[in-house]
Amino acid sequence: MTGRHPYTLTRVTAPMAVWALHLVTVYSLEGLACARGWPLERIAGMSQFNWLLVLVSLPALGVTAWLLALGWRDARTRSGAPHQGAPRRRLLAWTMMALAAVAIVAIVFATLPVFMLPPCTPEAH
Amino acid sequence: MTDPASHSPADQVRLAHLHRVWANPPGLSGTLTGVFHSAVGMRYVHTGLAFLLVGGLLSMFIRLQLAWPGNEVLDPDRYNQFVTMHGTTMMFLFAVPIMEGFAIYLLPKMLGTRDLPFPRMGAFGYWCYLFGGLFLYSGFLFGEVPDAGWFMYVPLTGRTYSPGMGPDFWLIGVTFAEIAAVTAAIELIVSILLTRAPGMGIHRMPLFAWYILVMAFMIAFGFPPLILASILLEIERAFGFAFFEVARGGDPLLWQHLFWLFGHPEVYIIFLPAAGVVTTLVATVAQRPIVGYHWIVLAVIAMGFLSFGLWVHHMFTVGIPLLSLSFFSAASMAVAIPTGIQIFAWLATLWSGRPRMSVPMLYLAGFFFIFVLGGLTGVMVALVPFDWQVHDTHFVVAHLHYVLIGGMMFPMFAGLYHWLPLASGRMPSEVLGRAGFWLVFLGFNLTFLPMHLTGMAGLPRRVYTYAPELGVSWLNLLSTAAGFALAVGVVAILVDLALCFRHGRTAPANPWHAGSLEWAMAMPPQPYNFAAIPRVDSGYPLWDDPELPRHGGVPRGLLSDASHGQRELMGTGMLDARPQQVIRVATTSWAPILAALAIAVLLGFFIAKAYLAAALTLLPLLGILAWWLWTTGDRNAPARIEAEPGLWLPVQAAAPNAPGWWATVIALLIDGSLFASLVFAYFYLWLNAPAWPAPPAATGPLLLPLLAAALLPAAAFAGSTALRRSDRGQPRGLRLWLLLASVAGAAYVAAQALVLAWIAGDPTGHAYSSVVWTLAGFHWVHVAVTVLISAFVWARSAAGLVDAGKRLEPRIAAALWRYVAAQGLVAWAVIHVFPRMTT
Repeated sequence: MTGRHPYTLTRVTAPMAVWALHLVTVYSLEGLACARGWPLERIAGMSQFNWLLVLVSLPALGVTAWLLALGWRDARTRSGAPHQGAPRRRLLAWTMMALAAVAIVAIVFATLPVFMLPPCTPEAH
Repeated sequence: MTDPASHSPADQVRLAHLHRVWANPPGLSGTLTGVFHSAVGMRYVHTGLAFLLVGGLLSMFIRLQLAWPGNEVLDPDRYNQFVTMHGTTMMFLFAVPIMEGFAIYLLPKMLGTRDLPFPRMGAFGYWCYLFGGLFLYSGFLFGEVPDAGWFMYVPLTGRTYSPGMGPDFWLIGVTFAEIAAVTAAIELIVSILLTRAPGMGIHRMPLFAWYILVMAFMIAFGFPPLILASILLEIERAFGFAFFEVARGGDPLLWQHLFWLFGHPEVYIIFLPAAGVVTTLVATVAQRPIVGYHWIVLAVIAMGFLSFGLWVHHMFTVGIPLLSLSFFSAASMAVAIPTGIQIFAWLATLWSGRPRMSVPMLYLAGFFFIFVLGGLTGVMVALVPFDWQVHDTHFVVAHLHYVLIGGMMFPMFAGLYHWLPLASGRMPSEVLGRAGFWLVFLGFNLTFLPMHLTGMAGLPRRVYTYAPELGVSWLNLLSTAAGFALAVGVVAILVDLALCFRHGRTAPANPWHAGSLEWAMAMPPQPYNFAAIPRVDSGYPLWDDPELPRHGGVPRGLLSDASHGQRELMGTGMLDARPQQVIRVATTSWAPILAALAIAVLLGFFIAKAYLAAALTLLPLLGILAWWLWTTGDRNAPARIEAEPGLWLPVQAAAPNAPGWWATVIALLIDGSLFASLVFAYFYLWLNAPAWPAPPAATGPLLLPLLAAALLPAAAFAGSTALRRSDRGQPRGLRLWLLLASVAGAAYVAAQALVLAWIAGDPTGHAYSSVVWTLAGFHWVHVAVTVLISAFVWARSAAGLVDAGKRLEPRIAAALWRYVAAQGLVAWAVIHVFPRMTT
């Protein structure tokens, strides 16, 4: 089982890369929508654009959840005969899993305001 | 039975060889030419402390001026200069470089190696840091001191509002000094990944190395936006391009985005190494392994990423839509998770261990107290409405000093006291150490705690005085008085540290009973660190084998034979740390300091607007760099070397994981980040432009650009073919194809220059033309550098120094051609395709 997915440092940090990509995407879309006047009609209590942001967040959550599941499986797997690379592999798998958990929390944090705030309202103070 | 640590006559001979090969020459020339990591690291620390004193002196003047309303210690202009230089010095010339100095000094010792893999680059970085700092301060000599704040916001720093040369001294001096951060990042990453002692798998690597690894990657991605912004602003100021000037299609907020894309990660770039010190010391003080190794690794990586998602929280008041602000507010909250994980891991370690209130522990306690308070006010200002209230007030001054002094300076002092016996062989004075701590701790809190109140009362930042009616006069007086206590404390600590080198009592072996490898060596360390490279099978080698310090000086084992006269490091696998290669590194050389001096002269000519002289200075600079490259490492090394009896390993030029290869990869990542920042600038300027391209610039016909673009894949193909020819043992083929790649690259530059001269418009006319010419010029510089490197590999091949076995240099040239082609295609598509898609 354990030799199937080689863990590299790039792979371990993949969940955080997904988070970064998500943040850049939603922020860029917001900038584009407001500068270029994208349609903001309301559907089911939220603007079309807010729904678009929710839609963008779903694959990000999906990928991080998948990485979490992979890491969970590999971090728990104990091979029958303990081999030299096992502790190293467990550290890497566990770290990917935990980073995926942090990434999910961070993506959810960033997506929550989409349900609460209208787009393109400038600050008011 | 003989004592394993006693030296036989054969050992004596080997030790003499090691000394001869690794020792620094004596005297001034040794100081100027030495490249060994201990010497370079110490230089960083000494210079950083000197800049701490200068920056601190400036802050004393600031506090005197603010002690009472209406004071006239500094006039408004001088006040602005001092505030700017204080912030700039502390951030760029003290906090970042001194932590790099710690890493450069300590890491090879902790990793069980002899030196960093690029000793000359390390020395070069230091000289750039020193000369950059002096360049910045030379503004005082010319009466042209930067005065627009450490973040240099436009339009205040544009030519209209800052017609003097103050901003130029800042932009050029700071960018010059930043070369040090970039070279240190490359060197530290490669060192951590490739030169750990055999057996030190990634799962038992010291946590300090994890912290430095993440910090170095953060520098790789975080510094380029500021470097790019500085280049753009300097081009705008020197040559009249338009990036930030609204009247010509620029946008001042572009500066803020680029600055804070650097500026927020910068806080963590400062904090992470300090947290690495805390983690190392906490385990030692508690005399037990750190609780939650996995959790800390997780927290460090998570922080490294999340800290890049916070930059807009410095821009809550500039008019960005609320929803956008909330994304960054969310990330600012999320970063509290990994911070919290670390703090709980540290507390759990102390709780379950047997901590003793030693001087380093005292500073750790101070760190916990102050940093947690700074973190909490950080969560407060991460809330958008609260930030609106306290933005640009002394509340933020209080917050950032709690974070930076608490999070960086207290761990730094703890670390200085902790590793002082290692560096000096002597123990610091308990009495002076404790007195210094209490002065600094009380002085700090009494200086900055009142600023929370004065800030909430409305005392603005960066203003040279305030009205008595504000009711904050007494609090300011308290801040000033306490600030002087803090200053006395800092001086007392530095005097204590300096005295220790001469008068401290001799330190016993491993005086703190630490578990990490640096304490397995002589105190102060030998110039070669370890007489034989140790093998490691534990996260705390000294706790598992307390005899290790006695064995560390015995020259039996890996790389203990230096009779060949070369400096050698052991190269090991990135994850498993199995021996993979022998790395022969460069020794003492004038090249680093001369190269840095040439850059200083070039920049001096540039700021004096003597552009021709600046361009001519490129010639000696390129000559020095060529000489440096030609003489680096051991160009005549055999392809395989016996690391210990029976263990034959390839030398780096013949190894797949050569440090030079990975340094190239990291350098290209950094360069890619710089390029991405420029592409970001292009799209940012496009976003709010009414017409793109802005007339008179136009898109023009696509045919010629299309024909030109075909030259880029051709260059990449030629570069790769050159490598294949070299691999087949055809040096003439290698040289021919390198020549063809260079011709294709140069032809592309010429063709694109023609096209742009036709369609892109005057670069000083509009932001569109400015950014298009800059994008193209950025790529042309890369083509030019790759042509030069191809010429270098051509010469190496002609001299018979490159062959199918030693393929590192053609491999790097081929990779550069692929990279340059890819970058060129992206720039080409942005310039020629994107405007067609939007019109």
